[in-house]
Amino acid sequence: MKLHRCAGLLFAAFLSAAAALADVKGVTNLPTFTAEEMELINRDSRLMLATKTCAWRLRRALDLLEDINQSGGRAHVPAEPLLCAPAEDGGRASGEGPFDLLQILKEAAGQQTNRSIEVGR
Amino acid sequence: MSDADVFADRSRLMADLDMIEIFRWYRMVFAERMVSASDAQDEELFATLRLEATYQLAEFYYVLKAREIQSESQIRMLAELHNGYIADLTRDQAKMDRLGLNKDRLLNAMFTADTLPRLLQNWRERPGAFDQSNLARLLAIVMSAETCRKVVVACADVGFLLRERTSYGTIIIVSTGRLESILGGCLREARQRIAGLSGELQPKEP
Repeated sequence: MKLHRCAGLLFAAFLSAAAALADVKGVTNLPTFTAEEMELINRDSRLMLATKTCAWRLRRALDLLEDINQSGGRAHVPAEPLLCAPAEDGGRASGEGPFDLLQILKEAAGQQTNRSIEVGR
Repeated sequence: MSDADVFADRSRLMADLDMIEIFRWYRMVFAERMVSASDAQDEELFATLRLEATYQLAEFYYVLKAREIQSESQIRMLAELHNGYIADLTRDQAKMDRLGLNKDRLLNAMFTADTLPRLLQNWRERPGAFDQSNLARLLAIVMSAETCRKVVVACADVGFLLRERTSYGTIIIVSTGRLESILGGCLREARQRIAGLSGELQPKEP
């Protein structure tokens, strides 16, 4: 695949990955890129910016691109891990909702609850 | 207790690590057992069964059964508590943001003068039966209506739920009980494993 076409495809994959995935908050270590990948990234200013602002998303997009290349053009998108909420749910990763639902059910069964959880000590 | 103290006692630390493993084992084995118990053999369905939303649905049905929420008055109480919670939530922008919810979506999740009677009528005619849209309302704080539909369809396809279209054009959902049994079995085993970690971690009834 020619480099300029590859960069365009990579950017499209990056947009898809950015829409579907969120960088894990609190994770500060940066992903690594091969020399070949850096050559590709350096051809597109948007991808260069992505290495600074959302490097992990770019890493995932590159992995996705490699999957596509290795599978002869057919995209194989792995299933979302359990911790990544579906995109249409707006990234509902908080544990508050499930906890609150349990409390509502407990109250409906006639049990006393304390809706305000003590998170820390 | 300072952060450093948590790592000071090696034996307690090992028990803490075992606890993490049990948490993870519980969720892993629940997904595996759902797949094993499935009536269908379809990888796409299995992928949906492994979603967090499917776990949430199973937990909802399990708690309904375990807490013996069976009568029409209890379902009415559940709907009223749900509405009260949603109303409070719409006034708490920070919490709405944390939960990834907006006001419009929450207002749609409330039971109204139109939808509450249908919830109660369905339950009265067939205990355990929810209209699919009402089930989505009750689960709105943990998943979108779209995700609820997707998960319910998958669970029906593998034999965990019955999904029937009525003459009014609505879709009624009834559990076959298998999902609750699988979750209950995993939960029981996880609790026994936790109880076996050490004396200080014995679970107690609230």
